[in-house]
Amino acid sequence: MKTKLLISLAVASAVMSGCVTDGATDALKNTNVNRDQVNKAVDTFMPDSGYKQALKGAVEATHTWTPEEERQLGTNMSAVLLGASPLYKNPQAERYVNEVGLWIALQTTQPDLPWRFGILDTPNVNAFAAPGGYVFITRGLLLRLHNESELAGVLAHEITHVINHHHANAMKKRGATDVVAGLVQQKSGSANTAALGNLAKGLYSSGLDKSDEYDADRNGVYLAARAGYSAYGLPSVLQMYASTPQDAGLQLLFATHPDPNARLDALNTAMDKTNFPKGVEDAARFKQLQKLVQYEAPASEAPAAAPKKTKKSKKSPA
Amino acid sequence: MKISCWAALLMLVAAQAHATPASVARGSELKSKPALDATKVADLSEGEQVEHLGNEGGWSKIKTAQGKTGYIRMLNLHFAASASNSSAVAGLSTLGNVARTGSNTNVATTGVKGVTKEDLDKATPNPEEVGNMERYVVSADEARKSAKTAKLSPQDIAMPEVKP
Ligand SMILES: [Zn+2]
Repeated sequence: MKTKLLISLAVASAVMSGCVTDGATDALKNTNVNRDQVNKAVDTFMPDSGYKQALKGAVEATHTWTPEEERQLGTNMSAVLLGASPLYKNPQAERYVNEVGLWIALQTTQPDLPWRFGILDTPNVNAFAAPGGYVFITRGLLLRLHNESELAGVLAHEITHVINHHHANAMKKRGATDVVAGLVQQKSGSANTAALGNLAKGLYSSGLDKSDEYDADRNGVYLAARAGYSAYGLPSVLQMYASTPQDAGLQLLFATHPDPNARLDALNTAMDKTNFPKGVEDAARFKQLQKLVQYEAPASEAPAAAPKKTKKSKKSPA
Repeated sequence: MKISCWAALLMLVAAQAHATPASVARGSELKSKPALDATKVADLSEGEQVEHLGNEGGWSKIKTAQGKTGYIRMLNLHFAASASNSSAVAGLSTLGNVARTGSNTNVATTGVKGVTKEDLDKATPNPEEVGNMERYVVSADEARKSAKTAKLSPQDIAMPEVKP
């Protein structure tokens, strides 16, 4: 037992000094020592110093959430998104997105997560994921898609964020570990809920690391193809993003993702060596969906009369 | 009159979908058909301005400045947002914002939300709505059955290797 602690401590020190490979970090994650024990070891063997706090932080960052903790985190983060924009309460449309989403999720390494897909009732264009199996797409984005393989590409990108724990890891870096543990143990619920809500707002407003977005694009394309779709659905959506002016409805999407042309270039490299099957491009059920999410033209007042002017920022070519 | 404004807006958006300005991302060949072994129509050089007409599989149909039409690998294109279509597109994606802030009180202002930074900032977490998602859950079997109607079947494609 003591040997194990010392090994963990040695690995943790190496993590902190920045001289360590991913393999060693994984080794730390995979030891059966919980972080309380490691922290205790740090307290016992290290003199008080700034290094000590940094080492504790490094230990936090490598803490692996339990599935229960990750689900709790995802539930609270989803509550923030749904607090900004409610569900589009059309059962047929919502069930359709669940059918497509779950079918894709079934082709991943985690088919048994409690996957939940939702349409956010907003004309803004975006899609979101939250830990533990939550995926959202806005009504505005659904309206802009041309076929089901494009929807599959968007959902597969978000599913990858969940599978690869992108948001969970980012929240950990923001210091959510203790708050989530408290919520799971039902300690000081309202204070923890509020704290987690603010951390989630921060993350959704500033976005993930760019490397996570490229990872979700690359894996999303392959995942959609595994589910039987054309691999070119997501690239097609990225073309649409790249050719769309950055008005208010797309502001958050552009602020939180790499330049779409750069994403297209990265996919060009990533998809280069694979000969993808043709795959399914569209389905009748998608055309039905688009009718269900359509906005009715107002009978008396045309909203076209006063579109809000927003500052146009130039996109630099990649 | 006002309804026709609305119709015109929608038509503008529809028209914009047909030809989009694009540029060639890296030197490549314009093909007569969307296939690698198709005959070459022209050489395309990096930065060349073209019109994007649509996609077929991994290919984009384009028209060159010289008026030649053909196919280019989809990922060999770049796009730049053009100013001319900005108002039409803004009309769609910020429809809610307009309705919400509309000066005319007859415009519906209830139930239209956004997910901008400001919306997130102001948001009060809504755990009840997370619970409402359970209403729309489908089973794995239902998802498989529905996939079948869309002619989908799982493909044996390896996921890409994790980057070192
Ligand atoms: Zn993403």
